[in-house]
Amino acid sequence: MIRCSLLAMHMPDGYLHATTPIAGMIWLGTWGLALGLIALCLKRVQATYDDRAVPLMGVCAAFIFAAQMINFPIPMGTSGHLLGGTLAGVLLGPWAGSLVMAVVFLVQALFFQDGGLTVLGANIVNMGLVGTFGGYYLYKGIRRLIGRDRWTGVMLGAAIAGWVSVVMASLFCALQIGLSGTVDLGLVLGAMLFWHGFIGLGEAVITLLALDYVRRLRPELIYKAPRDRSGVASGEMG
Amino acid sequence: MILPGASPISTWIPFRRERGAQPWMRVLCATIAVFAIALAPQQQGWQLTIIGLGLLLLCGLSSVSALHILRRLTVELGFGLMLVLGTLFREQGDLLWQWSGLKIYQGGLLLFCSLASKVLLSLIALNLLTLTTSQVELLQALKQLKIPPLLVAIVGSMLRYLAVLLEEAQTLQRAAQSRNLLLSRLVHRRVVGMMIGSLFIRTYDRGDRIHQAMLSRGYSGLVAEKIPIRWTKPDIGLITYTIGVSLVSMGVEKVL
Repeated sequence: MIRCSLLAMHMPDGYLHATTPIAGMIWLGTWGLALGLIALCLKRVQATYDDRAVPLMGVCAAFIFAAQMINFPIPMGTSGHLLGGTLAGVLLGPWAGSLVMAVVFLVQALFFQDGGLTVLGANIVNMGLVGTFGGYYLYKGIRRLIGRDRWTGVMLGAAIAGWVSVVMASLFCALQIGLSGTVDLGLVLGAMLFWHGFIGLGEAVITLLALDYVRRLRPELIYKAPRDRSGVASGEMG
Repeated sequence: MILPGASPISTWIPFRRERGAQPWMRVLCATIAVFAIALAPQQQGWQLTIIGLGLLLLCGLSSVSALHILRRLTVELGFGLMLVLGTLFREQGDLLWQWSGLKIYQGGLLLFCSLASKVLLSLIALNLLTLTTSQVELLQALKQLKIPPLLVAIVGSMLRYLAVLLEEAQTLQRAAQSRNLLLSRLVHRRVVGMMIGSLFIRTYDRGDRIHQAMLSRGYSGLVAEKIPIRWTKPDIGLITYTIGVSLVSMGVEKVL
């Protein structure tokens, strides 16, 4: 079985460079966006979670890392693993979810040499900003459209957002690589969108199943806003 | 073999666990090196060769065994090369090789070699850093380099509980395997979904328990901590060496 890693979106060092004006703008632009996103996320997470921020965000980042290690079969006879952006956004909110994803990418690049250090900005933009932040707001829009407290809204919203977030993240990644001139734009766009169309299906199914499990056992983790959940896990709110 | 403290030269050897450059300087220099490698124009053979030689010299002088680095590189490079493999089939220049629908052109081969060298050299630089610097030292270094304390604290918290969460995920997988739940593809996906849901609930509860434990030990939020930066001989040696090698490599590329 071929292991089709979702980290195909996880660019290594050297993929983006600054030798042409467009490539330089892409490289600097993604770094600027990523740093801005991290700064905003830190501010919002600190305001929402206060002194719970460090332990909760830390273990949730470890959760995403651990969840990415679990493989499952995807169509075309390959296996993939969860990217987790939409799941993190749905369960923790857009700011905490994006922060958790950014921390995961930082740790993977600096401590485990997985994904490049110089392209960390682009990786955070693709999978944190587009994948998690964008995924969350798409999920929220669909949920609001169908009915905020209806389970079909949550399920449909999460599944669609899961698929779209993976495909959109791969589109952004392909555009960055193609416009930088590393690989032919048409080739990388076709390959990335084709494969991530299938990978996104796996992401949607797993996100949906994981949320269904959480809903059955702890519905407040989905229906309550993160700031109202204090003390839930310690049993104070049943 | 140079032992720490054996000669005055050893005090200038930067990448040693004992008496080497300080962790913050190692992080800074590894970052400079990786940026110099990654941002080098494509197909700049001499520039990358000289940086590579500079890194090899550092590896030789460091306290890390070559076998250890090679073992890690074998795994990491495999993933890296898989990702840059697509560039090999770029249609540019003379056709060098053809088999069935696969064609390799001169331009594609050069680009692949350039990207593969960049991936390899970046991995060597970062491996050298992580093999000579513990996680605690790396976190301390990030604080000294003015990374936001909340971000460093979250990274520290993640690293602390990573092994626990990974073990929990493996336990869940083992339990599902022992019940033959992962045989059918359809059931496999359902079980993985439930596993991840269950792992999240355990994680969230654990986060709250950790928070309670921290409060009981008197934790009341992050305390601003100022760690002064002071320069030592190995620090000056390492930064001079890093910038020197980067500049020389660029100069040689221009001359040749």
